[in-house]
Amino acid sequence: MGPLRPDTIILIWLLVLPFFGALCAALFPRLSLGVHSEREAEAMRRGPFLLGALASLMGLGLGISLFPSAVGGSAVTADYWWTKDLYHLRFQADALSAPVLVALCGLGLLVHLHLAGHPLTSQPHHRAALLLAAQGCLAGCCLSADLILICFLLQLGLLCLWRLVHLDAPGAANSMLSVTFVGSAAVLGGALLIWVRAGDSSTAPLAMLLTAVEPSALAWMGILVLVGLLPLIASFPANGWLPRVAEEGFSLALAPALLLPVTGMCLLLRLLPGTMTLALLPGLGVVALTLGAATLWWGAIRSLLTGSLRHLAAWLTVAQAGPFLIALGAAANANAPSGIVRGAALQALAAPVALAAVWLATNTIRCRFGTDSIPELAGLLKRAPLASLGLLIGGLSVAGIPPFPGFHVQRLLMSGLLASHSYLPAVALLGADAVITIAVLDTLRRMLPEARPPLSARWSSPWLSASVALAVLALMLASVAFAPLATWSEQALRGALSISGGGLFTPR
Amino acid sequence: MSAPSALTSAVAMIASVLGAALALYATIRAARPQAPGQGFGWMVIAGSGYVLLALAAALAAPQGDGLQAAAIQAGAVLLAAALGGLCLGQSKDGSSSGKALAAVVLFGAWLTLLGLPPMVGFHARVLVYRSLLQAGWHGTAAVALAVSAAGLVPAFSALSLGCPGALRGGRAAIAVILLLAALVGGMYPGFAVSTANYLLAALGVR
Repeated sequence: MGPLRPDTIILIWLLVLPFFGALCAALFPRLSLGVHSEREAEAMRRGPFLLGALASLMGLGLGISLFPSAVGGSAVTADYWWTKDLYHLRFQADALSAPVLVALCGLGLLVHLHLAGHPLTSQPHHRAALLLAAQGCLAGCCLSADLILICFLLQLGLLCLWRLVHLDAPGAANSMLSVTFVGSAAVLGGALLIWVRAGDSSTAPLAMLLTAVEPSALAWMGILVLVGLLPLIASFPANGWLPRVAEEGFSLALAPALLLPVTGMCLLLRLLPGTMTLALLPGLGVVALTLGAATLWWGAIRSLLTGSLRHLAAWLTVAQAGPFLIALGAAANANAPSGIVRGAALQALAAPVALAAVWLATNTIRCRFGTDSIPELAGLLKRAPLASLGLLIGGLSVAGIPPFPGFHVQRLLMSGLLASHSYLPAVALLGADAVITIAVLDTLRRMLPEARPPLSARWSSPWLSASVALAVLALMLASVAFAPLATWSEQALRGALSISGGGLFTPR
Repeated sequence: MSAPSALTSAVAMIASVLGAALALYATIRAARPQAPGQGFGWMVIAGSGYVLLALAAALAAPQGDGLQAAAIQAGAVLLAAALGGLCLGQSKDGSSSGKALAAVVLFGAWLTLLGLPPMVGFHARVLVYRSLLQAGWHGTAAVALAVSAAGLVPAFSALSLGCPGALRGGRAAIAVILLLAALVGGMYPGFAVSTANYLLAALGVR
């Protein structure tokens, strides 16, 4: 037997991950039957999450191993028979999906570590299994090179996240699934329209096949895909599920808050600039620009007015969708420079890392101090410096402050917007960034003075601190070593994102 | 293949309106159940509306996938109805044995009815929507998609109540086989499509 091909490994990993999680679910209740003390039970509870973290680490390793060949332009593809004449089980690890696989596995790893140390975690085997299954489905969705397979895995991933959040907050989980499922139905509608008009459901040749389609039909396809993916990236007006999940879901809110935006942004890039020529989609640019500006400002203002850290995290997550949509809208301008789409691609990776720091810090603070209400957290900077650092640099990165990755993204966007004479979106972006900066700094200022009596902290697991430390480290690394990411974005533009560009998106 | 006659087109149009109306009406009724299990029953009827829609599309566009879609959707609805019937037809009892299986089977039945992955219902719905688009009925396809999304409302309220019965013995075995069939059809849609084509050929329809 010869060595395993990378494409076979991808498929095996995708298939094994959910089943591995399910196996944990099946095994751990039986193992816990032999546990007789609370201390033993506490130690045993971490098992499923650490196994989940190990599986995520393996996925991370796989993504990193695929990265050089994917960025080098040789995408790894796996094509299997699913239906004879209709649609296909087709995966493609290219310059867009390989880094997204790394992001999804890395973020999943952080969530697993966080849940391993969470004191209120009940039903650990179910949580670990559902989280792993969601990771596997969403990773498969980003790696898919078939429109129907994308919709299949997206809806399956949403179902897994719904069951996961349902363990803590049934009402919020139903709200999340309702909004995201309506969105996925719209994406399915757009995908079917593309399939019927182009005659093929595979994403790669669509640009060529869609050249003969009339502009009104193209516009419908683009709008359906864009509107359908708004709930995933938590964009206005489909962002209501996120603050509700943050309010009621507590420990599990960070799973959909981190995993769904990465998936949504990857799919938007794959389906819009990746398969359709943005400049040929009438109306899409205006819609995306308007929604982007509204989302950015809505998130920025709400984060300024909020009184709790979890709402701050939720509204910062909403705000991060704004620059991405503005970039997508500006790229629909035929004169748009390539930097704009590069900025959108970088935002899809940089924003979730920054938000991971904010969400993990927020949850850790809540675990340690029993509250996340900002007025009650005076003196936090001294008592929890690591969590405060996570909040600070995560928030400042979302606001586009140097030297964090968000700054490099905003620099690309701003130069692109100015070069294409889109002054209004540029002003909106700068203004909202200022508001977000004020919101983050003001939150930390309110936590600076020492409280009387001093803030009392409970014992918390080192896993919580480890997850925050890893998120901070990832953000710092991305800040310092931004050059490889910038090189990647150029390669992604030449490969996965320039299929429909026809020279339009060739890097200058 | 020749284009359908004016009469066929008219019949197809009427059937599509009836199918969409049936799916919409049944989904609305399912959202307000009067008795346990009634919501599920109405959703089975809504699923039948999609069969009618696919048949209408097959009449309007004979070269499309309408017949195939109708056959797979009918199969999915029958599977879901059988699964639901096995779970909901059981009387309440105090023991917990078999309740977990009944809850899993009922969840699978709802997923099939709603057209959600990983069950065969997903592919059935995809083919129904595709056949509607092939017939040029974009509005009807949009309504069908919207009604499908609205099906979550009765599903949430029914699933929050849990499963009233328990599955044991022969019923449990039948339920597991049917659930596996729905799952295999979802994970390997080629199997569902081939079976539908075989049945249509055996009936002499295709």
